[in-house]
Amino acid sequence: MTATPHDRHLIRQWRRGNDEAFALFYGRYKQPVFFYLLALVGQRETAEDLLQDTFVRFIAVAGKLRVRESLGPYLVTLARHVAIDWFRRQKLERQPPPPDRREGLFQREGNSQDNLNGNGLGPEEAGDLLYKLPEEQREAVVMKIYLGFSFEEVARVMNVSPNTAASRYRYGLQKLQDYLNKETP
Amino acid sequence: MSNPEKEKCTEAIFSRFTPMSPGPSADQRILDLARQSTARPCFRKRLLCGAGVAAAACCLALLTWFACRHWLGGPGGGRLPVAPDKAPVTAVDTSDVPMDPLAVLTRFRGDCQDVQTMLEAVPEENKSKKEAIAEKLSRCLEKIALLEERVRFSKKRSAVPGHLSEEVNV
Repeated sequence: MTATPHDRHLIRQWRRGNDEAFALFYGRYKQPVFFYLLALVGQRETAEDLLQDTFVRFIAVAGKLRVRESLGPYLVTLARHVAIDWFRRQKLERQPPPPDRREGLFQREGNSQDNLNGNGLGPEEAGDLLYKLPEEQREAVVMKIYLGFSFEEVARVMNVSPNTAASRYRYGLQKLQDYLNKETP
Repeated sequence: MSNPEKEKCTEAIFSRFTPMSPGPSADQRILDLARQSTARPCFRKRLLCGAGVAAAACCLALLTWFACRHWLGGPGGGRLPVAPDKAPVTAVDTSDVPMDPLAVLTRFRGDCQDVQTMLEAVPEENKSKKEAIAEKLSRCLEKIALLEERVRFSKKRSAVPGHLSEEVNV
């Protein structure tokens, strides 16, 4: 998710009644936000619900928003808060914890051989390895690699300093490397 | 391999996977919501505008009503009665004003002089009139005697420092 200089323009057009502008904006951000939420909650249906909630919240506040730069970090911050609320609700309603077996993070493409990475890592295994990371490190890795955020943006979303964000990312990568080394002797 | 190289390598391995996408089920609902929310501010603005105009009209009507009532004597029942801040000026009643006893005495002396002149002017044959005037003269002289006594008394009291002279009622 690269910085989009047109976010301000799209939101302004949408406020003036141009629905196509919002459709474009939504199309730009729905996939990254959904993937971030899926990496957090691990359930596809829940992630889709939370994606809806995130955009509902965004629509509610968009009228008061002063858009200066890319809205990606802002949307992911909203998504993060929505996910935290969901986790709290689960706790309050004494719902059973999310199942250990989480749904896949990555798409399968072509036949199973094409899916294997250079060291024989498939999409399902890669997803499982990501789920093994502690939540904070997983968030940092997802935002940096798949959403294309800078460390400053990751730090803003997680409400920490950029150095902390960078170290969480590096620890996460280190662990992934360790898992890879263990699984591919 | 150094640490940064290892990191780059791991990053490259994981970045090759295509992340999952959401299904299309939620899209239409969010787009509909966005469409409604752009319509809402317009409605709100109109509502606010309407309310503002109504409030302004009310204020104007009230102002007009007050203006008519207070200054123009119009449909609010006419000009309000204004309480007079001073009583109307009438002839000055000096009955309560204390008079100078000497001045009163002088006036009575003059009056008695006139009565005496009238008495002398009445012929001897008109006895009844002469008696009536004589009686009037004697009353007048009595009053003069009484006044003279008061004037004397008043002079004595006014000699005491700080004491006001007594009023004389005739």
